[in-house]
Amino acid sequence: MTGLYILVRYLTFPGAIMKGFWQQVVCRICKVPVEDNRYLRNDEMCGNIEHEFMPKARGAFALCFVPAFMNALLCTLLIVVPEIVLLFGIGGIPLKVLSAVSLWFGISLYLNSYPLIEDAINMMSKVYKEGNILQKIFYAPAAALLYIGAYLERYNITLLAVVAGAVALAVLF
Amino acid sequence: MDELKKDEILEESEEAVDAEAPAEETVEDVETDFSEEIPEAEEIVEEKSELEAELEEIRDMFQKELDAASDGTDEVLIQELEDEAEESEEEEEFVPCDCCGENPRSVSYGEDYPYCDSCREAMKRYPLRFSGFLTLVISLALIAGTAYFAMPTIDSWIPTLESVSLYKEGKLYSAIESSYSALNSSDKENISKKLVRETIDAYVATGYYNDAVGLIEMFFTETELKMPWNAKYNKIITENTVLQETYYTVSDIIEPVANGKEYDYDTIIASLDALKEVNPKEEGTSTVTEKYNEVFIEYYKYVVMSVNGKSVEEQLAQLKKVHEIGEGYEWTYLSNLCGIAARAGDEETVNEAFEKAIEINKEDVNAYIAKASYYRFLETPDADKILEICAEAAKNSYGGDVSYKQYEAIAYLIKGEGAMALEAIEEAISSVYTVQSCNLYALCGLYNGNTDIYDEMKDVLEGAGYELSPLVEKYKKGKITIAEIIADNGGDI
Repeated sequence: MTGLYILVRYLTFPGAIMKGFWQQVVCRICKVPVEDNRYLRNDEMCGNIEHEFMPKARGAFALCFVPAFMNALLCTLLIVVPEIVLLFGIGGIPLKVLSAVSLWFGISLYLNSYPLIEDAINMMSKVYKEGNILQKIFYAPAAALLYIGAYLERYNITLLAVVAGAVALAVLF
Repeated sequence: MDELKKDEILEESEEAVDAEAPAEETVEDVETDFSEEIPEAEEIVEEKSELEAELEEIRDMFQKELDAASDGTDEVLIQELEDEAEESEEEEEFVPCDCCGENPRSVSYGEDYPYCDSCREAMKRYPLRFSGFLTLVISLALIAGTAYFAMPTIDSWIPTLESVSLYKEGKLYSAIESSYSALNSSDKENISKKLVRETIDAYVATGYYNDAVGLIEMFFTETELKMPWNAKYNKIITENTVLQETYYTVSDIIEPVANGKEYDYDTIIASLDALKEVNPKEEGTSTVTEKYNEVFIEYYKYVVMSVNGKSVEEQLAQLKKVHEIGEGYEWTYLSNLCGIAARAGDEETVNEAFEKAIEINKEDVNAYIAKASYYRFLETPDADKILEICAEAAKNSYGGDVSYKQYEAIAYLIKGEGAMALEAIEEAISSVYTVQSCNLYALCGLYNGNTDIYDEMKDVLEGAGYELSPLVEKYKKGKITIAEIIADNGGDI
C-alpha cells in the first residue's frame, strides 16, 4: 500500500509539491521548526514535510486546513474550464492540450489535498482536547472532513474517487 | 597515567601502614629471644643490630612515604585527578546536535530532542523550496492560459450545455432548437464537437437526414471523415442518398394512390416488393445505392394498405413486419404502429411502441396521442387514463404543440364534463385546425348548448370544401348520443 501511495504521489507530483509547500508556509507562519522540507521522498512522508507538531489547536488546524483549502481552490480553478472543453470537445488543439495539462494538474492537487494521518490526529487532539469551545464548534466540520480525508488519501481512496468522478461525468454527459 | 600513579601511592601507603606493626612485633620477639638464648649472644647482638638498622631504614623509608603522602602537593594531585574524572564523565554525557554536530542537544524540548536551540531556531526559518514556487506559478499560468484560450468559446457554452442536457433528457426537438443558437454562436472551431455529434444523432433519430448531412459537411473535413472513428458519419451520408433514391422511386410507384387516381392494389404492392431485388447501381440509375431501403419499401406498403382500407389487423401485421427490420428507422413507423395497435386493442404492442418512441424522443406528442387512443377504443373507455397521458404529453410537448388537447376534450366528453371539454378543444383548435378538430369543436359546442360554435365550424369547413361530420349532424338532431359516438369511433369524428 505504501508503494502505491508513493507511486501516486510521484504521478501527481505537482499536487504533492504544492501540499508540502503549503505545509511549510503554515509552519513558517506558526514558527514551527521544519526538520526536512523535501516535498518528494521515497517513504510514506512523500508529499509532506517533516516538522514538529503544532503546539496549539489553531496551528494544528491550519496545518491541515490551509494545504487542503489552497489545493482544492487551485484544483477547482484548474479543472472547471478544461472539463467543459474536453467533455464537449470545444476549441482547437492548443486549448485542448492546455486543458489536458490543466486537468492533470488539477487532479494532482485534489489527490494531494488531505493531511498526513499523524497531522490529522494531532489536529483532532489539539482541537478537541485543548481547543476552546468556539474552536470546537467552528473547526468541527472541516476537521472531521480532513480527518476522514487523511485516511482516504493514505489508502488511495481519493484516487478511486477521481476515477469514479470521471466515469460519472462521462455517463452524465 | 595520573590515575595509575595515584593508585600506586595509595597502595604503597597502605602497605607501609601494614608493615609497621609486624616490624615492631618482630623487634619485641627478637628482644625476648635474645634474653633467652645467652650462649650465642654475640651473634645475636650483631644480628640484632643489623636487624635494627634494617628496621630503621624501613621505618625511615615508610616515614618518608607517609610524610609525602600527608603532604599538600599530593592533595592537589588527587584533586586534579578527581577533576579530570568529572570532566571525563561530562564528556561521556555530551551529545551533539543532530543538525550542526557542535552544540549539545537541547533537553528543554524533551530528553530525546535531537537538535540544539540555535538549530531549532534556524529550522523555524527553513527556506521554502523553489519547486514549490515553480509549481504554484505553473498552476496559475495554466489557469490563466486556459481561460485566455477558452474565452472566445464562452458564447457557445450555455447553449451547448443546455442542448446536451436536453439531448440527455431525450427532448430532441427542444435540443435541436437549442443547438441552433450554440452552432451559430461562435467560430466553427470553437463549437463543441460533442454538440455537433449529438445534433447529427438527433436529426437522424427524428428522420431529418438532410440536416444531419448538412452538419456533417459543415463540421467534418474529408480527411476527418476518412478516419475509422468517423465511419458512422460516412454511413449517414450514404444512407441519406439511399433514402432519397428509395423515396423518389417509391413515390413514383405509389403516385396514383397518393393522388387518388385509379390503381391496382396488387400491382402496386408487387412493384414495391420488386424494388427489394433491384440494384440501382448495377442498373445505372444510381452511383451510390446498391439496394433500396427495405424499411421504406415495407412502410409504404403499409401506407398503400391503409389508403386502400385494409383491415386494422392487416395494417398492424404489416407495421409489425416493418418494426422487425426497422431498427434505426423508428421515426418512419413507430407512432403509426402505436396508433394502429391501439385501434386493434393490442395493448402489448401499444406499450412497446410507446416506450420505444418516448425513449427516442420524449417530445413525440404523436406517441402520447397514440397511446391515449388505446384507452379511447376500449369497450369501456378509460377517461382518467386518457387525461393522465395527456397531462404527460403536456409536460413534454414541444413548441406549444397542443394537439393532444383534442383527446383531452374527448376524455372530458366521456366523463360528461362539457365545459372542460369545450375549454380543451378551444385550446387545441388554436393550433390544430383540422377537419377532426373542427367537428369535435362543433360537437363540444352543441354538448354545451352553444349553436354558434356549430354554425361557425360549419362555415369554416364548407368554406374549405368540406362538410360537417354526419355524426355531428346526427347528434344535433338527437339521433345519437356522445356515448354512442365514442363507442363507435373512440371519439374520432
